[in-house]
Amino acid sequence: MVPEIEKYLNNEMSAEARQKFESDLAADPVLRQELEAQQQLIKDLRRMAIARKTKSVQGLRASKKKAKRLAAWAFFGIFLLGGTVWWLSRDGSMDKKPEIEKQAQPKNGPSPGENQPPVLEKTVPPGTENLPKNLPEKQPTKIGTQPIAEKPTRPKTAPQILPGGENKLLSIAKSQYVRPSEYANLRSTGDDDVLKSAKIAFSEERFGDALALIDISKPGEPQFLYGHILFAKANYFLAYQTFSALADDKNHSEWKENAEWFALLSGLASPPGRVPKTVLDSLLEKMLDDAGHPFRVKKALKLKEMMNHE
Amino acid sequence: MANMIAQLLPGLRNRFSTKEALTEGLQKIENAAIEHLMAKSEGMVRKIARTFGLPEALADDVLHDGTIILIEKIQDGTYHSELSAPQTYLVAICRNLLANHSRLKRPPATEQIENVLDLADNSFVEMLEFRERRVVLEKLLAQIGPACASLIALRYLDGYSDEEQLAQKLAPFSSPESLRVSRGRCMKKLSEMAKSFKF
Repeated sequence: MVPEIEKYLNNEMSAEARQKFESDLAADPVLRQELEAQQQLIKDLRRMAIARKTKSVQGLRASKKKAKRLAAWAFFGIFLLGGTVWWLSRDGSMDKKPEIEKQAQPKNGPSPGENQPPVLEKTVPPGTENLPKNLPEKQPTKIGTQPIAEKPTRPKTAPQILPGGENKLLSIAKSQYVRPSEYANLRSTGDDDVLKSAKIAFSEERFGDALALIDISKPGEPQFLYGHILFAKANYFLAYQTFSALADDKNHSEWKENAEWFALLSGLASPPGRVPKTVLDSLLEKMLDDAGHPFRVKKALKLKEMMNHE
Repeated sequence: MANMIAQLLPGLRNRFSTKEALTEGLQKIENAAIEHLMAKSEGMVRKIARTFGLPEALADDVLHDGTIILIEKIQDGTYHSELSAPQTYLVAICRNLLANHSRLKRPPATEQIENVLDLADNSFVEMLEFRERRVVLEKLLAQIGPACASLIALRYLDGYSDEEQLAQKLAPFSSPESLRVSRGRCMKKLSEMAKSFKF
């Protein structure tokens, strides 16, 4: 009934379905209560979305204002400094000018042509004598007229890309990922519950069906299976988040070690930069330090070796 | 002068110079529209806050809350742009919110403030309640787990339709129906968690 409530609240129902739902509502006080609760939640979530945007715009405006104020102060400071320098130099030149002028003027200045520096004859490089003489000379570079050269960009520490287009960490993660054996070759016994049906669908690689069956709001095994479906569908970052949350879930500590291992692999496979390397390193070190960790000897040590090798 | 330049160079004209365009931008919660609206109304809201003897920081909060109320009113169709421009409407909302804040600050309120109040409008109380609920909701979204949190956020916080989520592979589902079923379960769980907080 829950998707119906959402459809009803989002006006996604046909007129007929809407009418039927409204008659159900009139007859069922529990459904009515649930509808009201969901309505309030959706209203709050939508309001939260607007509030987040408004807050970010306000923050942006505040930083723009701050930058403008800073620029104005900087301009004022430069103007003040420039003015002071000009004023001081003006005062100094007024006092000193007559003396300088006096010193600069020789009592008996040389007559024209006398003591003039010798005019150097233009030397013509050999082989260029016959070139046209009226070629424009190379002009000095005027500051401010040249386009600003782009800053040389430092190459980012991009992940190493393999010829197939995959980065190496993803390749390592995929090579180390093995689906849990309990999800392999499952067969229907006719009286399967929903979770088992989801597991069968997963083992048969019918991921869409598995997703439709699984209840992702439930912690524990449904989360674990959901993480694997996400990994299989190459949604590595969400798989990392799902496994990490399960590993941290103290109420379902039976999944902790498994979830840690798959969180590590999903984290490695995630798009570069999504999961900080330090987080993954510490997760791996934690596994290696735990002598009783089931993934320590066969998996984590090998993974570390492979990562070191890379 | 500015109008003349804008007429001569249409490229320089603001996208939200007409109230219809601004209303449309706000309905879609476009950042540029919100920024334009805030820039137009901020000075007036601050001035009103000063006349009520309220601090400037509160004017910012009220402008934020007022913008949310206005956008909601645009989205649910209770705001009509032919009656007043969005910025005028926002200033009116903020005036009411500030009057309420002022009344809270000084219980023996002056008659002038009472006259300003639109007692039929419960936006002020709603916003105060929403502030409290928002804090709880943020906590619950962090507790519900990444699988549910991402499904809820994609639909209600980021505003992606189910079809967009599937087309852009934002959610791992293969049909809108299975996506809705899963999100529905998550919403039910969130609602149950919220009940424990007496939401």
